[in-house]
This record gives sequence, C-alpha cells and structure tokens, in this order.
Amino acid sequence: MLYNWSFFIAAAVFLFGIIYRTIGFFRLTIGPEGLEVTTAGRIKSFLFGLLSILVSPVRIFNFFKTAIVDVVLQLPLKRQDPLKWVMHICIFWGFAELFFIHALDAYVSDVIFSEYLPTLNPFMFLRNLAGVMVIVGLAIAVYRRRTLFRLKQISRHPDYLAIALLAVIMISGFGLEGAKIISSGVFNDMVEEYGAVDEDEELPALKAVWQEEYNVSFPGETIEVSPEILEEGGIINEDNCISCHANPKWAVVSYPVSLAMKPFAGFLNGNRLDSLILVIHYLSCFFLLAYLPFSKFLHILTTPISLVISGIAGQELKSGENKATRRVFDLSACTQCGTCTSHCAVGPLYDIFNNRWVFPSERVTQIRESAWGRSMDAESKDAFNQGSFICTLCNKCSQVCPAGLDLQDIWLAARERMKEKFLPDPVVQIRERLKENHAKKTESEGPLVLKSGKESVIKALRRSFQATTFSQCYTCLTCTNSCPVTGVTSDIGQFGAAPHQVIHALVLGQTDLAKDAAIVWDCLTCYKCQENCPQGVKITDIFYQLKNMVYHQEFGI
Amino acid sequence: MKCALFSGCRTGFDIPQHPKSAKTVLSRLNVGVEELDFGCCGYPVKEKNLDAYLLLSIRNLAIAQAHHLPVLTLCKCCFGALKQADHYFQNDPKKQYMINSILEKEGLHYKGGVKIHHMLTLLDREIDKGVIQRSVVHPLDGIKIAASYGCHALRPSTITGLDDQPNAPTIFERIIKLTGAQPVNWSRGLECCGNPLLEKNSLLAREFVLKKYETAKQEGADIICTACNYCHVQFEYGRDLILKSGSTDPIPAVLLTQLLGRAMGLEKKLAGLEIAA
Repeated sequence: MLYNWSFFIAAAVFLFGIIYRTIGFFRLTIGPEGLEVTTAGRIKSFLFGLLSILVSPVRIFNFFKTAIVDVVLQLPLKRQDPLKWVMHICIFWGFAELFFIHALDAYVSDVIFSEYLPTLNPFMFLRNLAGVMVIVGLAIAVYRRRTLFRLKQISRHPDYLAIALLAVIMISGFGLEGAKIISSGVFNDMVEEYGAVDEDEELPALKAVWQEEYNVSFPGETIEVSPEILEEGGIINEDNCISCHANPKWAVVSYPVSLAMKPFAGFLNGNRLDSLILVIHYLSCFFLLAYLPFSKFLHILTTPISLVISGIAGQELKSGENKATRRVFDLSACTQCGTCTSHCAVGPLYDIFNNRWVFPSERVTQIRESAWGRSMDAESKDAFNQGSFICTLCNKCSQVCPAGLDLQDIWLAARERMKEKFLPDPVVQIRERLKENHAKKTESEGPLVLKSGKESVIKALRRSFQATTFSQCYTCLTCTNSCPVTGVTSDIGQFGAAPHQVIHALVLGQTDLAKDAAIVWDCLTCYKCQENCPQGVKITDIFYQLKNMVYHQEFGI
Repeated sequence: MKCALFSGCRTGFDIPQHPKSAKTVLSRLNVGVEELDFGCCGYPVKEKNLDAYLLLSIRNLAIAQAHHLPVLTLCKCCFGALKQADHYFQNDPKKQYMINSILEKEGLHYKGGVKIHHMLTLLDREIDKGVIQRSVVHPLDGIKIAASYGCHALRPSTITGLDDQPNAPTIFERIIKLTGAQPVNWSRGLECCGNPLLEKNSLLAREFVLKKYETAKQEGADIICTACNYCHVQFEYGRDLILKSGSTDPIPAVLLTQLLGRAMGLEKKLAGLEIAA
C-alpha cells in the first residue's frame, strides 16, 4: 500500500519534472533577449541536428567513441585526476548495477538472465560489491570536498544532500539485507512459501542449519544442535533451499552487518524491524527518483548527452537555435564538480574580492537558477556582474569540463544579457558615469577651492612607492605631448583633463579632479608618458592607482 | 634548455594558433616545453585592483619556481605584467608577506628570481643565431615585414628590459631578419594597438588599429608581424573592420611564431603569407 502510493507519487513528480525540464530546454534563453529564435525553430533544429548525425559516418563514429570513452569509461577524467576518476567510476558503475540489476530486476535481470534470483550468486555478491563501490565513491567525494581547498569553498548543502541521500540508500540496503539474514520471520515466511518441509520432523533440523551456517536468529526458541541434526538439516536444506538461496556469507557486507545485529536479534525479529528498514530503503529510493529532475542528479540523464554533443560538435555548433538550446541544456548537465573552478585562471581572486561569482561553477549555478525563474536582488546582481567580468574568457573551463559543457558560450551570452540590462563591465560603467559627471560639472563651473594635502587619496598614494613620485612633477608637459590618446584630438575636454593636469591636480591636492578625469580611464597604459618623464613620475602607475581607488569607491572592493 | 610555456588567456579561444605554432617552432629549436597549470597573468584586473594583479602574477611565478623552470610568454602583456609584478614584489616586503600568505593556502610560495622570457628575448638571447638560421629551410626572401612591438613588453623599459635601446629597439627586426624577410622601418611600430580601450572606448581603439594598418601599408610592408596575444586580437578585430567597411583587403597580420614556422617549413598553410609571397 505505502509502497505503491509512494512509488506512484514519486514517479509522477519525476515525470512532471522531466517534462518541465524538457520544455524549458527548448523554451528558455540564456543571453540577450532579442535573439531571433523560437521554440518551434529550436525543436526543428534539434531534430535536424539529430538526423545529421545519422547521415555522417564520421559523426556516427564520434558518437560511439564518445559514448564509450567519455561516458562509460570516462577516460578524460582519469587523465585529469585519477582519484576523482576512481570516485566517479565507483559511484557510476556501482549505482548502475544496483539500478538495473537490483532495482529494475523484473524488467532487466529476469529478462537477460533466465536463472536470475536476488538470493543467488553472482547477483547476491555483485549487489554487495556495487554497494561497497558506491560507498567508497561517496567517501572519496566527502574527503575531496572537505580537503581540497578550492572545492571546499564551493561545496554547499545540495552537494552534501546528494551524497547523504545516496549514503542513506546504500546503508539502508545493507541494513535491510543484514536484518533479513538474521530474521526468523523472513525464514518462516520463506519456508512457508517455497519449502516442502514437515513442521515437526524436518523444520528443527533446517532451523539448526540456518542458525549455525546462515546466521538466522530464533529468539525465544531453543534450537537443538548436534552433528547428526546438522547433517540431516543439510540434506533438507539441499532439497528445499539451496537451489534458490546461496549462503549469505556471499553478501560480503550484509553478512558482517548481520553478525553485528545479532545481539539485538530478539528486538529486531520480535518487532519485524526488517520491514521498517525496507520502508526506509524504498522511500529513500523513491525520494531520489522524485528529487532527480530538480537537483544535480539530473546530470545522470543530461551529462551523457552533453558529452556526446561535445564529442561530435566540440565548441563549434553552427545553428543559432541549437546553440541557444545547448546553453540551457548544458547548465543542467553541470554536476558542480568544481573542476572548472579549481583550474580557473582568475579563481585565486576569490581571496581578494571575496566574490563567489569569480568561480565559474558558482556562475553556472546562478545563471541556471536565474534562467529557471529564481530572480536575484539588486545587490547580488551587481556582485554577479563584478564577478563575471573578472573572467578573462580564457576558455580553460570549457576545455577541462568533464561534462563537456561549452561554458565559453554561456559566459559570452551572459555578458550580452548584462550589457542589455545596463550592466556592462564595471570599468565601462565607471567611464560612463564619469562622462555624465563631467557633463554636469561643466554646467556649474566655479572657482577651485584648494584642499590641504592630507586627503585620503593623497595618503593612499603616499603609501605606494611608485605613486609618491607624483610630487616630483614640474609640469613640463612631456607626458601629455607623448600621450597617443590626447594626440588624436585637439579637444582635450572630452578626456576631462590631460595627463599632466591629472598629476598637477594631485600636487595641488585636488584629488577629485584627478581621479574623476576621464583620461584616467581612457589611458591605453602604453607607458609612454612614464617612460619619457624627466622627473621619474610613474604616471601610468599612478593612473592605475587612481583607477583602483575609483573602482573601490564605486564597487566596494 | 627547457621552459614553462605561458600561453596567456587569449590563446584558449581567440588565437589557439599561437601556442600551437610556438610549440612546433620550439621543438625544432630543441627547446623543451612544459605546460603547467598557469592562471591569468593579472594584466586584465590591473585597473580594478593592483593586489589582485600581483596575486595572479606572482602565483604563476611561484608555480614555475616549484618546477624549477623559467617562464616563456608568448604575449607582450603577459610578459610585462609578470616582469612588473616580480619587480614590485621584490621591492615591497609587505606585499611579499600578503601574497605569500594567500599562496600558502594552495601550497605555493614565491621567493623571487624566476627568469621571465618573451619569445623574442628567448630567441635573441638564449638560442644561437646559427641554430635558428640553419632551421630556416624556406627563407622568406623579399617579404617586407612591419613589426608591431607591443607596449607592455617595451615599457617601462627599466623593468621589462626587452631591448637595450627602448626608444629605438631592434630585437624584433633582428629575429625577422633570420627568416630571410626584410623588416621595414615603420613609423608606428612602437605605438599602441589600441586593444586596452576596446571595451571602454571602442572609437579610440578603432582609430589606433586602423592607423597602424594604414601606415604599415603606406610604408611598404607586405605583412604586419605581431608577437603579442592582445595586439594580434586587435589586428584581427581591425581587419574585420576594414573588410566590413568594404575597402580592399588589408595587409595580413601574422604571428611571429607562425612566420618562423613557415620559414622552417613547419606551417604549410598560413593565411596571408601566400598572398604576400
């Protein structure tokens, strides 16, 4: 009853989730809103793309090559990080064995193996082995997430929940098998169902064998044991049981578990707690089924597909429609494994900016959540924007991604979207603001008020060994004369000030004038001024410092 | 000799041909190349936060130090960034402490002294001229080349030390001559390509690169040679602009390593060279 109902609910949620996701893959867009793609067009392009695989022998070859090398054997992962490969292969293969051979035994094992019974070898042994593999894999996963310093920084509740859920399923599985091994209730049920045993004459002997050799516990009963009884029981066992039930010692984990349970056998068997563990086991499995479309477990279905796409098309999908679909799809194939973040060219800057969106894996999660409708508050939007534009688009993340995601394309699309929403690169925002300020200032031009030289900007400049050199300036204009930027126009007004004026403003203590001059941001950083300055003023470096100050002032980092 | 190849961020997507051609050329010259898990050189974040720049730069030097290898950059901006960071780091004990305490989290430490090369300085100072000359099997006779120097390797010259004469450098031309090609005297060879302003002030960025194309052609060059990722990206951008504007084919911009590869008979196909030759 509970079993059926919970299964139907879980299956319904699962189906709903898969349909919801599939529709989203073809409907949602990452990137600029004005993209000329329709859902129908995307579905058409996708089907067309599928067909084009079938007509090309090269693509068919690549399809099988990727399916075997990247999906089943995951060799690229092995080259990248052998421990991670062991971890994932253990979970992947172990889980696959348990799912197909054990959970779906009525549809898979029974069909393939005519002799299949869960209580027979090799199935009994393999089930235990698979469970051990998954648990070993999970242990490595926890170890990696707790010890690798970059991975630790990005591991969050959903990652640990996924590990915990699998752990509950595995542990309850072993607990269930252990409880069944010692259970007198299960023994009696099975004798009743499958055995042709005389209750008075034969059953005591069979019980003796199962107590001594199979570790069944009969609390409250005294089972007489002697070599003769065991010999008789052995014959009854052979006639009735052995063809369908291997010795539980082959359950290499569950058997030791049953030994450990033995002291509590009276309590366990008296209350038929094996049924309770069974409920925990299947409820946790059904929960996984229902949770799958809404969690990183979705990657079980999506990542193989994205690996195949990557194996066939690489980063060179041609149709705009398919690119749009792939972006949404790829986001759901991310497993938050952290490989991109560990190799990110600018990842170390998390320690300076304290902005988690410096990390590619964090950005993927954010972009996915935003795409599926979870909106961000304004503050997070700004922080996301700053983190995103720290990225140098070096493409390393796409190259190392074990799931074959084209992250570069996602970053480019996300940037376009931000530009559309008036959130371009923060330095571009600053320059635009300065231009606006400048326009306002020229309207209300008043006499300059000289400030004392103790302002914070000057103090900050004095702390830096390059920047203190501004005070050596004697305004010879060599910098401005050698500047290629001021050289392109006779109207210096558009730059707010000329380079020598910026330095002179600092000498006068007019620090706002200096740091708000657009020329600071229009500087090419060609270092010609600094190279030619007869006074050794580090002009370009001072400009860098001024830019840093404005960036800090505007964005707080 | 052996170097840690520092390809630079722009090569991962925009110009993968740069490290690819560099590796084939280096193997022909018997220079071993190791590809370490380097990060960004820090140049792109310099205007946002100099500490961030310093951290990224020094981290790469620390990685090279852990492998006891000199760094070989392909990009002028990477070269300048690493050189300058090394200089600031050595002269600022407070920053040394700050950077190293962050690096220690991932088991790295920098104590200074890693040698930093650009492809040009490596070819000019570390490799025997005769070896390069002997490897040239298809001399590029008669091709006139305009060398685009790249600001960040050239200046501040006291720190970068690309050439003994920063106001009239000849290192690029010296290498070009080894291929049999003829360097032209280009009035804007030492000027900025405009790339740093590409996002912030694209009008200016355009103007600089178009000026470079225009003058190079006027002054008799068949091709422009670059040895910097950012310059090269900028020239490709400029080329698209010229083509879009409908005017005639601009002269091609070719990477130094591609030019060498071609002269060594390693790169058969090279867009532009066929046209020029």
